[in-house]
Amino acid sequence: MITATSATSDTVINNERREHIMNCRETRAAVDAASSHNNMMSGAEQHLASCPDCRQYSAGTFQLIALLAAQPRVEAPADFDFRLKARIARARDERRGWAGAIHGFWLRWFSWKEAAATLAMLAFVTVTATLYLTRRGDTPRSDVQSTAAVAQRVEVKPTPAPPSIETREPAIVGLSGPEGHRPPRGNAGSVRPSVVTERMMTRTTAAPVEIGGAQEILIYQPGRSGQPGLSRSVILPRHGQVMWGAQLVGVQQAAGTRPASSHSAVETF
Amino acid sequence: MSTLTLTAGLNDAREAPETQRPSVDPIAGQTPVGEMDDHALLEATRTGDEIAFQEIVRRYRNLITNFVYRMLNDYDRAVDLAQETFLRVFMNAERYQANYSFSTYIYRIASNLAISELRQRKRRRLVPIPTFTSDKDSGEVEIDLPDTRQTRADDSMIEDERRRAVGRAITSLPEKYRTVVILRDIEGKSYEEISEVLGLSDGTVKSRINRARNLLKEKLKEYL
Repeated sequence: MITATSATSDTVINNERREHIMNCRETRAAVDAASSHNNMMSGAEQHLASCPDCRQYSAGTFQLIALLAAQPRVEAPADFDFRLKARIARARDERRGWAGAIHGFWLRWFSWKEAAATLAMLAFVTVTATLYLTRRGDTPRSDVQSTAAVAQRVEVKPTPAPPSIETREPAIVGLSGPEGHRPPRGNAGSVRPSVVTERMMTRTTAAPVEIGGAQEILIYQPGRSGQPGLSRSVILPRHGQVMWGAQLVGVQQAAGTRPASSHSAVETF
Repeated sequence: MSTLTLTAGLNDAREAPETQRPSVDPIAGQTPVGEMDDHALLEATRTGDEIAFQEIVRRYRNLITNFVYRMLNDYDRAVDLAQETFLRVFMNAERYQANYSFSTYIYRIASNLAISELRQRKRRRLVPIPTFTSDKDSGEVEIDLPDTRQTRADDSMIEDERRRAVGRAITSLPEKYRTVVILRDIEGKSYEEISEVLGLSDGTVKSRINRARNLLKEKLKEYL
């Protein structure tokens, strides 16, 4: 019972406090809106009589307003009209000339809204075109660019004095047969070229894949005993020249062979 | 001769004092310009009546000059911008649309010019200027201030000092607060007029005025 009574009295106090705050807010808004004490609403006057904070606020505001209103007003100088007429006459003369024609055109036709809309449209078209041209992957390239791209893909490193095309053509055969030319080998890694049968050779080289104007030919290498067979890719440019000394990255597993644990060896031949 | 050339086409009333200025249009049957409202005067200006434009200038020149002066705290520049305001009114009279009162229209032109000037000055202030210090290392500006104990002995001096302090306090306000408080408390504009002049909502205007007054109370607390 006691608890209920105290809760009720708290609610009453809170309501009064809330009402007081609202009244303060309204009164201060009325003080801000009024230019002097005379223009105050009667309700605000009643509140000011009972609220010292608002009274102080009101007094400070009206003192400030009085201080600002007491600022001396400056007046235009005596020759204001004369100077203005001179400026108007000068402006009329300018308007009659070419500058005036442009100014007239500007005034008659120019619109800030239209100019802003045009600029926004131009910016949109520019951005769209830039994005379209940048993201288009199949942009036509020259042969030189294509070869450069392929060389970049296989990380071609220059090697000293490659043999001529004529000797290189059978080099593939040599790579795939014991009687052919066997190219020098560098870091063999886990891949060692070995005898490739004619059948394998035929199968693997039958379907060259076009890569940006070059051909990728898979050369099958049978593994050692107990090891999976591997295939290596050789990049041939469009005219059939073997790229000697290329480091082949990512040795691929030949189709139909057992998977190996790792085929990421780098082979130099 | 050059004076005659410059003023050709306009009614030469500059020699006459303000009280003797012709307030009645000499053409019979027309309303005297002194009794015409602002819209009618501008309409007459649009048709080439320069007496009507002179009446507009007469009505507003002191108001606009004072307003711009309070914005800039620079009398010469204020007069220059006030003239620019009237020049724009005259040259663009054909484009005037009576959506608002003419007072709002002309104050809007003047406030735009004053705000542009303030922004230009702010940009210029970014350029370092040489300091007038005797000790270059300290970086402090030495200014000879008057002895306040002596000046306060004279009431007029106190009043002048108070006015200067108020002017400095107004000038030190940010541009957006300065404009509203000048329009409200010095020019006596209503909230609605201020919101039309500045193109702001009523709530924004009230908020800015409240903020500006609070800032001024802080700056001028020794005078309140």
